[in-house]
Order: sequence, then C-alpha cells, then structure tokens
Amino acid sequence: MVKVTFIEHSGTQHTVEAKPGDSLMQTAQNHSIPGIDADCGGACACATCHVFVADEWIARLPPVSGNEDAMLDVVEERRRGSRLSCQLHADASLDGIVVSLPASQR
Amino acid sequence: MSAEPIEETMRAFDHTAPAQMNDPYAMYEAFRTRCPVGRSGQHGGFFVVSRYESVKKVFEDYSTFSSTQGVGIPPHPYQMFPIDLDPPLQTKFRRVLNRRFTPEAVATKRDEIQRVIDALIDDFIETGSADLAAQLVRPLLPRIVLPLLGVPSEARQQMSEWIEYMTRGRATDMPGVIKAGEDITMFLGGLVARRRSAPPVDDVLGAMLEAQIDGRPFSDDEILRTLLIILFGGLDTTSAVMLESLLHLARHPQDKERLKSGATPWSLAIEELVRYTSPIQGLRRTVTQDTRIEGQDLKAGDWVFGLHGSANRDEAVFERAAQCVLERQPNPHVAFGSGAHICLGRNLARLEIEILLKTVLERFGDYEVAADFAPEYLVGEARGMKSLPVRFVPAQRSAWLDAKRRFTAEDTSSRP
Ligand code: HEM
Ligand code: FES
Repeated sequence: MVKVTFIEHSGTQHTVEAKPGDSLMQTAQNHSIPGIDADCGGACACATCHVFVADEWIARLPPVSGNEDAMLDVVEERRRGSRLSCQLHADASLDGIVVSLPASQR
Repeated sequence: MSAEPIEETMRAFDHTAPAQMNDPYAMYEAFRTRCPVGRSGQHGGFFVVSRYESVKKVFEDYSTFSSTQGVGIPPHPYQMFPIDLDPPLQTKFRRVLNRRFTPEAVATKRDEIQRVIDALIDDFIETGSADLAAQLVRPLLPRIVLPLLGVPSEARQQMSEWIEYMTRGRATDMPGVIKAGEDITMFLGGLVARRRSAPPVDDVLGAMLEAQIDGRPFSDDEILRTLLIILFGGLDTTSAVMLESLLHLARHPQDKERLKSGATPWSLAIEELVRYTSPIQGLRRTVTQDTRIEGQDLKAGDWVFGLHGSANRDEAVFERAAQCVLERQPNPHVAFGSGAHICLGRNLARLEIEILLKTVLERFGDYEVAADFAPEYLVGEARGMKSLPVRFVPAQRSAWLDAKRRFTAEDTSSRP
C-alpha cells in the first residue's frame, strides 16, 4: 500500500492508502475526498483534478507530458508543483507523497 | 436481420433512418458481437464503434479522435462551441461554463422548475387525458433553459421552432436548415450586442460577457456559438429521458411504487433511466492520425461514429443490460458522454427529470398508457419518443397543492 496525504484548501488533511496503480485522482474519489472534480474521468482532458505537489516530491514524479502541460495551462493559479492528479499513479516510490488542493477546480 | 450478413447490415447502418432506429438495440447487439468496428456506406461512409470499451476510447482520446471537424453525421452546417473544439481550447470554455451548471448552481432553479411544471400540468389535469410529450415535456424545457441562458421569454416560441428545424432537418432539407441557422444566429447576435451595452445580468450570457479567454473577452461570435449548443444540447435529450421514464413507470407499477415509497433512491433511478434511454445514440469524431481499434485500421480523416446507445447496452459492463433496473449500482453509463465533452448540463438534466417525475407521481400518479401503445421515435444523433398519450383520474389545479406543499415541507435534497 502507498500512503497519500491530500490537504484540502481549507487545511483539512486526509491521509489514505492508495492501491498501487490507481491514480491519485481515483484514490481521492475512492476515499470521497472533496475538491477534485475529475469531470473527464481521468482522460487528461478537463483539468478539474489539479493538485499542488509538495516541494520535496516534485522532482520524484514522472515528467509532465505534452497533453498534461497544455491542460495545466488552463487552470487558474498554475505554479511549481502543479500536476493533474489523474496523471500520477501510485507506486512504492510515491509512498508518503503530500499534495494540496486548489481553492476550486471550477 | 440475422438472415443478412452482418457486413450488409453495417453498410446500410443509418442513424437518421426511422426504420432502423425506432428500435435499434438488436442491431447494436449484432454489431457488438459480430462486427465491433464496421463501416457504414451511408452519408459518405463512416466507421461505427459499438462496444463500451472502444466507445469510451474514442471519446476520451481526443488527440486521435477530434471534434474539430464536427460531431454530427451529416455534418452540422454551423460550428458550435465548445462541442466542436478539442482541449485545451475546449477546456477554456468549460471553465467559464461549468460553474453555472454545478449541482449547487442548478439547485437554485428548483422552485422555478417546479412552478413551470405545475403550471403546464394545470392546463390539462382537469380533463383526465393528455399527450405528455406535446402538453408537458416539450413545452417545459425551453421555459427553463432560455431564461437560464439569458434569452428573453418573448422569443421562446420562435426559438423552439428554429431549434426543432435545425435538429431534425439536416438529413432532408439542408437549405432550410441553413436558413433557420441564419435566422437564429441573427437573433442571438442582436441579443449579445444589446446585452454588451446593458447592465450585467446573472445568467449564462452574462457570465460569458464578463469572462476572459486567453486574456481577452469572448467575441460575440464565440458567445453565440456557445449559446446555440447549450440550447440544442438540453432539449431533445432531456425530453427523451422524461418520456421514456414516464412510459417505463406506467408499464412497471412496482417500480413506480418503490419510487413513491422511497424504497428506490431517486438518484440511482435517474442514472438508470438516463442509461436506459441513451438519448444521444451516437456522435462522430474525425481521426487525426492513422490508428487501430479492435483490429481495424483507421486513417487520418476517417469518420468514426461512437454509439453511446450501444455502449450502454453492452453486457460486458452491464448485467441485464436490456432491462431498466432502477437500483442499478454501479452504473458507469456513457449517456452523458465521456472524456472532455462530458455533458455540461447533466446536473440540470438530472434535476429537471427528478422534479418532473416526482410531480407527475404526486399529481396524477395513476396515469395509464394504452396497452397497445407502440412508441414512435424521432431519430438522428438524438432519439426520443414523439408522443405519449395517457389517461388518468381528473384532479385539481395546483392552487391547493401549494398550500399542501408548504405544510409538508418535503425534503428538497436533489443531489444525485
Ligand atoms: C438527459 C439529458 C442529456 C443527455 C443524455 C446529454 C448528453 C450529452 C452528451 C452525450 C454530450 C457529449 C457530446 C460530445 O461528446 O461531443 C453532451 C454535451 C453537452 N451537453 Fe448534454 N445532454 C443532456 C442534457 C443537457 C442539458 C440539459 C444541457 C444544457 C442546458 C446540455 C448541454 C450540453 C453541452 C453544452 C454540451 C457540450 C459540452 C462540451 O462540448 O464540452 N445537455 N451532452
Ligand atoms: S480527471 Fe480530467 S484531467 Fe484529470
């Protein structure tokens, strides 16, 4: 199991177990964590699953693909650490990752 | 049909042909099992994709299956936004529109929807019979969607006629469709121009006038093409589900009872009624780069028609797929689409359907459909019942009902 911590915009923290292979978006949905809309269901096509990855984790993630980069350009408040959570898949190397959520995905 | 080789059936496939689409489900099953990707020779030729997994792939992989060449067959003469765009441009429109259509945002329309439904029912409830398509469902939806968009209600009748023409006439009267399109765009263009110089109003048009895209305001043309699809998208589709649901409940009294008693949650029932109806039977994408699906090679420029109506009956995903099982859960149907273009109005549609069905059950829940009634459908990308004649015990107009509702202060939670 892989531990993932989601921090809502309000500051509420949720530390949950992700199934290896699941995306962080799916993990959030499986645990009913509010704040990730994920309208497109993980097709990297809606930009409503935006998260901010904590600094120390940024470099440990797979690179941003062309599609993800284009979608991230659409979100409000893109910054260092901005990723689409449907494009990040849980595996042992991400055990302990911390991501926080923007004020709104809409 | 089984006598004919499947390739023949496939070559003749035409979603605009009433003879095929009045009841297309046996044909779809044959496609799924014997020809999951085939080629129709109609309308210039196009590939037809029928299995759930492949339909999802077509609608999710927008880099390979693009919407920018249009999503109808035959092509719609008028480009609309965001439906005829791909991400990321499409996403920029959705960011402005989505917040007007969240469950919370549409819930604020609940009282207004209730009022419109009650008023339409008042017009026939004392007579004991009605065509629920002509007298309730079709007049209802423009009364809700037009004010939400910002189109004045005086224009309602004219708008409804234009829309009817544009959605139905493409296969038969293209010049007429183009004329109706010109009329409607003239009208909406004038409206947008007037609103630019008027004080801001809290509706979809108002939101677009205030919003920015790529650091500049939306153009009149962009706004108009957006208003158009919201208009088109929300009428035939929602009315199809309402009518199919009303017919289903008339024929399945035990389902009606379970809804009335609360044994079946409305949220589950509505998803199932939407899956079972699948008002959008299929939509087109255009291949951008050579690819392969279910072993079939596709070339850049090919048209692909993904069948939502077939995907939603795929036994690989839905047990007893041909049956309407109101408590079905999970229900990963694709009736609202899948991927980037997932229906903007889905929360509004769910709310409208819920209020309509609840109100009918409350006010004339004993309605009956003749035993020999055989539904006929308007067909095309969207498929919906033409008429639904019913009889019921005449009841009173709604003045007394308002009072009763105030006392019972029912639950108003509508979240699916
Ligand atoms: C049960 C009712 C409805 C069904 C089954 C339905 C179905 C669909 C489907 C399948 C799509 C995807 C189109 C594509 O992939 O190209 C779609 C998109 C859309 N729908 Fe609906 N719809 C319904 C109700 C509504 C309502 C009530 C509205 C608005 C008032 C609406 C507005 C739209 C718009 C604007 C789009 C385009 C979204 C985009 O391209 O990003 N729909 N709908
Ligand atoms: S869920 Fe749509 S982009 Fe991630």
